Amino acid sequence: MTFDTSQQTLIADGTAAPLWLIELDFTPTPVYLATWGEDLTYGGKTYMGVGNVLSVGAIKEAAGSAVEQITLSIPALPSIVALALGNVEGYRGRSAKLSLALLGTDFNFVGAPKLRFSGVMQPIKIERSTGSDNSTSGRITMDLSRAGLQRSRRTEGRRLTDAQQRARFPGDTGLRYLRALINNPTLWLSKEFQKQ
Amino acid sequence: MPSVVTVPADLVLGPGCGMGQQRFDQADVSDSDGSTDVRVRGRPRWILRLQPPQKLKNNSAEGRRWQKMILDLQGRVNVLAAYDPLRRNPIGGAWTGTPQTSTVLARGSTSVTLAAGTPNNGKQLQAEDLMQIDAGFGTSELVRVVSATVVSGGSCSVVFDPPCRVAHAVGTNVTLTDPRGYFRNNADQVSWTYTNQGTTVEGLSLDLMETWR
Repeated sequence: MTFDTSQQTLIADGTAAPLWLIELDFTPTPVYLATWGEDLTYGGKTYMGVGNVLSVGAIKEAAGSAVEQITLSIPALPSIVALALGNVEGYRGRSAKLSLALLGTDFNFVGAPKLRFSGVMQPIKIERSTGSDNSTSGRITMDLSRAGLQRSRRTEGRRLTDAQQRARFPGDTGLRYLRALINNPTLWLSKEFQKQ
Repeated sequence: MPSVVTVPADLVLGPGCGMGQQRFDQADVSDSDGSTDVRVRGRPRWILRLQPPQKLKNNSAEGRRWQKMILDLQGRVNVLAAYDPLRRNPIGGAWTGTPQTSTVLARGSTSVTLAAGTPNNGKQLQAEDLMQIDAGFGTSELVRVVSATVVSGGSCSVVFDPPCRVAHAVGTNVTLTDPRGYFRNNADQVSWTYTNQGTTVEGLSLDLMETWR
């Protein structure tokens, strides 16, 4: 990610106001949120300002095939809660984007927001906890993960089986004897042994 | 949408009233050399403290007006349209009529040209005078004057802070007498105390923070 010149200047001045712009492709209506105290408009979209009521988990980047997930804590705004607690098919697997934006001293955007994460929404979770004084608290969280099946992004999740081979390459019967070979190992006699 | 409770213009306010500003900055300070890096986390908000004279006669009309105003806020549900009790007019005196903006104010603007009318020629807003740009909860803004020119030909230029939160069209009213902001109560619990064998009531007060949503 590269900040443009105006953003670099703002950061160097120490007066930048960073925030997240979040785009969640709910059906029927996408939801746009901003971790700022007021609504913001950019690119023709109005991002509802929910401030720090919405928390965004840490974004980590690492080499490897591990699945990257970010956790959003969803604010208790009726419109969002209604969507999230509604039909899961209305949002599961649909697009989610997080962009980092900077505001200047006049609280207007400086430069273009930078896309930092693009993935899909996973089903929400409701977490409850009980305090030492028996008080209870809860929060609604949603994991965002990279697109594609988690199984497909983990190499250890793949199996070399005839069924999977045929599913990927219809008509390929190259592994049809694999199970039989594994179940009934055959002792191969070496040439030297046979000469004895 | 919360309901708006309006502070009556003739409400008796006591000496404990005050105003200020809450900022939401994140400062990272180095323990080794004290250098500081600041990140702005939110737009600054006005804070306001209102309280009546120390003792009000219990069951007096004034006492009951205070109680009604406080309880009508319903904790943090509703908002209060309130003014700074010690800055109800510009320090140079009230102006004639209602000035209007003669330039478009885009979001983020910090200066405006006011059409104040020739009756106000020679007047000048001073630093820390308050202005209310536009009207209504969510659309109006309470700003402080940073500097201003003398009204000449019915017009003057004003630099203000904080920057505009929303855009305002040409011809938007600017209120200089009782400029109001919209505030939420900071407390979940309100109470008052009966003293002097129930003949007086004390403890009525409001600690408020500006809100626009």
